Amino acid sequence: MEIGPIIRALGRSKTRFVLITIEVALTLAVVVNCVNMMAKMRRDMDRPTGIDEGNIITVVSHPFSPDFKEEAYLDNARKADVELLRSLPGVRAAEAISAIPLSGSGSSSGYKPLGSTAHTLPTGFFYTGQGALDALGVRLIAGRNFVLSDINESESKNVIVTKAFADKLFPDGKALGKQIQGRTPDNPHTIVGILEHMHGSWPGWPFVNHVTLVPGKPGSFNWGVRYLIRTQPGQIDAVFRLIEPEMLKLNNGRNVTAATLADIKADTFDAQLNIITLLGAVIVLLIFVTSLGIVGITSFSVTERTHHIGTRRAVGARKLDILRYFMMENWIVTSAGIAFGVVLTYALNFLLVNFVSGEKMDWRLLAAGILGMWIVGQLAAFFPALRGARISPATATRSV
Amino acid sequence: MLTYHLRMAFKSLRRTPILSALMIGAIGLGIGVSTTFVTGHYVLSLDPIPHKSSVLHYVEIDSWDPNRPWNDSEPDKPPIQITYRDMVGLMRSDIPTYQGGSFKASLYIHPDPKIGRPYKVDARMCFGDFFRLFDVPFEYGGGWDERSDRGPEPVVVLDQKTNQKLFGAQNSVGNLVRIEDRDFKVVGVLKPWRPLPKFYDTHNGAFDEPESVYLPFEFVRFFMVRSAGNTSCWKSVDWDDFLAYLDSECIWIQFWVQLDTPAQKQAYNDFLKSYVDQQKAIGRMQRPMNNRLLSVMEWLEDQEVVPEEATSLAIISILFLVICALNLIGILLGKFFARAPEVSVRRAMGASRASVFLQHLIECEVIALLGAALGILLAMLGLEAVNRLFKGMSDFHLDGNMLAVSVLMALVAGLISGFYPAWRICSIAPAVYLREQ
Repeated sequence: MEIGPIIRALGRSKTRFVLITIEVALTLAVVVNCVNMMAKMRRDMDRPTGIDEGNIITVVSHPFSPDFKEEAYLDNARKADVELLRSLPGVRAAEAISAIPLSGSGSSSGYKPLGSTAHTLPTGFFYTGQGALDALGVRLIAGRNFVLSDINESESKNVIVTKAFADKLFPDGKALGKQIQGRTPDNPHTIVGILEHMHGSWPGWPFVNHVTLVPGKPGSFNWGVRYLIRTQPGQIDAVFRLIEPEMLKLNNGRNVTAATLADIKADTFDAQLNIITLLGAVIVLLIFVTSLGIVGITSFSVTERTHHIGTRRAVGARKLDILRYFMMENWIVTSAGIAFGVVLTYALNFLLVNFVSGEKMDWRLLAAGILGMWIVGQLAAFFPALRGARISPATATRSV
Repeated sequence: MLTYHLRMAFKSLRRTPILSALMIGAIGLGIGVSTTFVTGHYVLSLDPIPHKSSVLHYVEIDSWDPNRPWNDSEPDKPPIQITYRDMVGLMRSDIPTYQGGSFKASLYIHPDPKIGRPYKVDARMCFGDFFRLFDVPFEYGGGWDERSDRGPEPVVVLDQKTNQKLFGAQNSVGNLVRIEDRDFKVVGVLKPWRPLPKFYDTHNGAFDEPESVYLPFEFVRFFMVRSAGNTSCWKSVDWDDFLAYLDSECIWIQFWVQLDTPAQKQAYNDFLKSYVDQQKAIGRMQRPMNNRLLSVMEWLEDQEVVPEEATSLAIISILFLVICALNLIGILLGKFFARAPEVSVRRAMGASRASVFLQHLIECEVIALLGAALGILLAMLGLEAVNRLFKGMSDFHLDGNMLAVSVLMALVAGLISGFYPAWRICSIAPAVYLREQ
């Protein structure tokens, strides 16, 4: 294949060359940046949470009966609820908790090693009971679960933290048994257990994997009481149907709202999912428009050179040679566009990261984008090029 | 002359219907996509209360931890809410035209059992000035006065939906509604009111709907209810002792004032300064003096209520239009050059270069305007889709400004993509083509 003549021919129709180059470059830059944003959001959503999301039902019990204002009544009601939930067929574990993980609503706090003069480190924060580890499906990798005496203490002393948080607090990796404090050293806590991994309430929060479980009696009259119910595999729908009627049968002085954790998580990510849909739509339209543009310009270029093609065919060029000529031309122009596009991609990425939001460009995505652009270019050029190849030498030389 | 050019343009478009459709389609798609996303961004950044946004001010004072700023990454900013005790202190000023703190609470309404079980609503605990500060529109009745604030008297304002549910949209002023453990007298019913964004309280969902019921703030003491929004504390507090909580350094109240004149604003600034100095004297507020009065738009800017993704999408959609315009250049070049012989004849007959140039440029602008019409239709569909997708997060729609922007974008795109082809065709040498004919 002779590249020289193609490049010299391109030099004679610079506009066409420049147009496709810019178009390919812009398309590459926009598409790769969009995909990069989508991938970032998708990654956020798909990050393992350490929680057995697929088998968990969450329940909020909002009391309205004034009886619940009595602490003892609330405590008993909570106990009765947990007992009831554990007794339902298909339930593997159930526990009361102060907030629902992944729901976008909860509490955070700050801790540091006891006596440290540094700033406290942020962590998600849940009051809960002994059944929490099983109800969440999180794995304890060191230490122990809460025991009954932990729960009944008026000031909670012993806490369980995630490994990510433990390692931040004690970079030497020896957090178990160590004491931690809040802003002031009164009421320190002891780390009695370490969880392999767990996400807290706010999936977008940079410290989402910092979680502290504190033994306690979660819930209040105004805030309501929340429960996590982990079902046996495949039982979630059957259990779900039982929860509201059974809990109201037990105590009618409240409203009960059940939702699967999967739905709660989907709600939290709703806006992100929508943005992904919109970005996807823009990408599809963009590739469509760009392909049409390449088809148009290649067609024009074929028409314009009917005469030349005829001449070449007449002096012995095969159809394949003509096809190859146009495909090669397209490849060269697309490649020039890609070269320029790589620069634009990083420029747009820089703009988005520094002035709006976004994620640093992943070079592998860019590589995939380049490959994609080559394919789109070749596909778009193929049909006009084929038309060019079919021009018979006779018609071509006859007129124009 | 213009009508002549226009007639020529339409004639030319009709001569190549497929090509014309392609060109109008290209620009239309570009305008459709860019208008959709630029409008999305525009709607999200609209001023929610244009006639007052410069006189309403969000009040911030720095009551945070002496050893650590409110926000580690922006240490010069004061916290974004205030404590209860500071609200009480600030309410003593008589400088603002209207003023008041408020917060969102989650409360039970106990309707007539015939209507249904008790149900939770979002309630705004606020002062009577709330409705005057934000020009909240009433269907029936009105807000309450200072006496009801001080009492506090059990009065309530219902939003339109709650009134619909409890009283079948009748004028319910004077009726009683049971909220938590007591009866409240309805004094007002709102017209549908949906400030976008919910600027008076942007915490936990800047585009959420306003609350369903409005009660005098001081009922907080009777209900012992905490904020359903954000509460942040830097000092530990006994969570079970409600009075200690009210007296604590926890921040959970949004405080707004209306300052109509620069003199008022100056006086209020001085008041804030002396208030903070007093607090410093009694050992509170040990951080550097850092009071801020933010107008509505400054506050929204500060809270970054426009999602970053909306900005990214707007930028990307403009690049999309650019790509569509590039496509147009390619097609126009082809179309104009096919007409070179005709242009040559016209040039030979005495048409000036400028006239040929203008003729083709006008043709491009005609295409652009037709594309704009198509694009606006597409944008209406696109915005409808966005509304569905975001389930009423905001009311995305085109207004006069955005229509103008969209037509302008089309004209600019037409000009940019038409300029080069028009210039090329007007500068051909007629002789070459005439000879071939």
